[in-house]
Amino acid sequence: MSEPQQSVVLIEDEKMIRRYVAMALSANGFKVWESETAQQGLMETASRRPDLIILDLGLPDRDGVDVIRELRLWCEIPILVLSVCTEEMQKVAALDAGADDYLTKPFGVPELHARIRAVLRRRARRDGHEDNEGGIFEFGDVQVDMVHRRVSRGGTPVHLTPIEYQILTLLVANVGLVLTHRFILQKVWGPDYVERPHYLRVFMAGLRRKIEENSSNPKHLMTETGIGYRLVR
Amino acid sequence: MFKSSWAGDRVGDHPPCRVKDSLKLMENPQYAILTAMKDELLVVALIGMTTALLLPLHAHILMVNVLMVYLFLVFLVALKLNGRASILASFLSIAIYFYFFVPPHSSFEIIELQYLLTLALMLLIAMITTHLASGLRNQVVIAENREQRIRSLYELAGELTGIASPDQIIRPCRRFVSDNFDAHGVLIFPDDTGKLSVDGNPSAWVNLPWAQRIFDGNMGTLPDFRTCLMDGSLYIPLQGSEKNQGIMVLTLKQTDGVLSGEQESLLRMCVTFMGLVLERLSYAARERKALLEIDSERLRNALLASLSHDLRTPIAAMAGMADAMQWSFPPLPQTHQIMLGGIRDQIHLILSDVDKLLDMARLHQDSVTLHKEWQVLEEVVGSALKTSGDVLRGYIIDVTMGSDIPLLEMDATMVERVFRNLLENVARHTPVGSRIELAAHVAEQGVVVHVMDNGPGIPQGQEEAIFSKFVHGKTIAGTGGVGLGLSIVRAVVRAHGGSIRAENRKEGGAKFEIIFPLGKPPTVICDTEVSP
Repeated sequence: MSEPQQSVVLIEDEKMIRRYVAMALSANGFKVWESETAQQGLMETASRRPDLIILDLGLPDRDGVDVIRELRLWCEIPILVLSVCTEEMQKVAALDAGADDYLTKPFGVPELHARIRAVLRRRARRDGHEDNEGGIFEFGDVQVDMVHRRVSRGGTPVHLTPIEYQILTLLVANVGLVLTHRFILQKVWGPDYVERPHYLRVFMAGLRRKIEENSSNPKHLMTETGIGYRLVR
Repeated sequence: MFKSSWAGDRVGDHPPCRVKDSLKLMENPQYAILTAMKDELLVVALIGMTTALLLPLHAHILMVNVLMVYLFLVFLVALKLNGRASILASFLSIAIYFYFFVPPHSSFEIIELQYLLTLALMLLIAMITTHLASGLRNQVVIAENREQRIRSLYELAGELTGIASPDQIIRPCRRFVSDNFDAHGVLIFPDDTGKLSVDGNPSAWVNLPWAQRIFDGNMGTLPDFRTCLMDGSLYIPLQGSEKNQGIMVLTLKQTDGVLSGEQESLLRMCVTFMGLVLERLSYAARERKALLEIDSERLRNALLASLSHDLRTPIAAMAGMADAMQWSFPPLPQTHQIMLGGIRDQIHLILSDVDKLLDMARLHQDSVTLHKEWQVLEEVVGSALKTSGDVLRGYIIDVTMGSDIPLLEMDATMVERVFRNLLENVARHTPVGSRIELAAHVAEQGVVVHVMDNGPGIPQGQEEAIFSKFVHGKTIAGTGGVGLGLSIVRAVVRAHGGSIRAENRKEGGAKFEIIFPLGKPPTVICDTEVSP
């Protein structure tokens, strides 16, 4: 991790989960501030000004989505949501409210670190700390040349439609992070299309056929069922 | 249907009351003679008094007026007293008039022919008056009788409307029958299978096969009562709007089963009403039962859901701890790593079973709402392949999904679980290294998806049973589950209007065939490729 020690406010009411997340984070060099309730978590956030907030959605004192909305009123600190629930609606609501990504319990330590890295990297890029690797982005055998708007796979050029290209660059810009259907539809097609996720699905299927080795079992353009898509390197 | 325990209760087996004949007075016979005597005595007294009053005055009163007085008396008696009394009054008045007031006095001798005519006319007027008056009186009696019947029908209606359970129908019914018919009766009700039974109260004289025949007879209008007669008893169906609710057996004591028109219409009204009341009760009972079932089902599902949820949290913590240990620093010795790996695998097995219970509970809730959207099947399948990645490690997976498959309207989360459960099921029943094929094509009846393997296949005759809850076949050692996977699969597919069946392949291995109905997918406007 970067020079000054990065800090995390962890808001989670389940003691065992809090303990193990804190352990995993400390082992990776994070300073962890633990909170048991939403109220305590908000206070910690305000006083500690952490680099990341990890928030459990099922807190006893307040609705997690509400907490995200309140946080987003006054801070831009990345939020990683933890959810025990398999209901996708709640996760989508959290993401739409301003959470950066989510993890469904139980999750492994590598998963946790990958998510945290992705969230922090996007923040760093947005703040202009990290470069885009010379405008060329690579995943698997695919190369995306942002400057020349060229995509190639295994050295052979891939012909994308303008919409496919837009979706791809959006995913590239947020690599490792989930993007909700709503977010992509709004960014690519505009606000009129947010209720038409089948558009996105059809184009996504096309994109997979061109980019993935096996479009039925993708390795990079991953589906988060009921939520959205995620580009995995 | 009601319990048969109250079937066969007798309606009118108490000392039968005498029927009130519609054309006779309704008084008790003991008093009737006395009352009749009283009427006649009254007539004699009245006429005697009048004569005693008129005799000293007759020199001053015209003969015609005396006649009028007697005629008035006859009319009055005919109007107020019974027929015998008025006939007596007619003859007595005429006799006295002719004896005392027609010359020669104190003699029945008639000296002038004119008086003979007077006698004839007087007799005629008295007779007509008597006849008219008694007719009028009869009308009054009939009207009163009818009113009594209507009142008794009304009371029956009132009592039957208020009853809440079928056995309460017997008392009002018994009263109605004993009030209106010289009969005793039995109500017979069917058991749950629709068979009439009298096991609660053996009534040997009831002809049960005949009752059953009437009971099973056509619905619609009530049959002619003459066709319901058997051994002098009437077997009358209690008709509801949909089916017969029971049979009333009515044995008339005197008339050998023959009813007067008025009695028949009364009985028709009574049985129609009883049929409707019984039907209402049977609906109410059925509704109560259904509500009870729904309540217990809901409670069970709520329990199951909260249990699954409460289990998931500690399991998640366990999984997390095991994971944290595995990645801890300094690293654990090799043997501990292997043991930890085992713990983690077991935790994930438990978790997957808990998830299945949660799914099942959710699918059985009446509030289950599918979040249907137009989906690309390939994407749903791909997502399932990704989530069951751990389970499928070491298997050869072959997916054939043409790009011609239309968008399908489905709840992606649920359908993903369909494929996940199917894949897990295959992994459970086939050895590692087996080949799993997933193929989809469009057919007339919908999109057909095949999930096939080259494992040992499904045991003979188990092709349907495997979809039942808590049933599982022979599994590869150590991979047993709760046996809910395939029943969830079927429930979800059916919720999508599709179908699923399993069979063995000729070349060996199991084959699952899912058919998703084709919908009317929305059009998607595509853009064209740009040359680089």
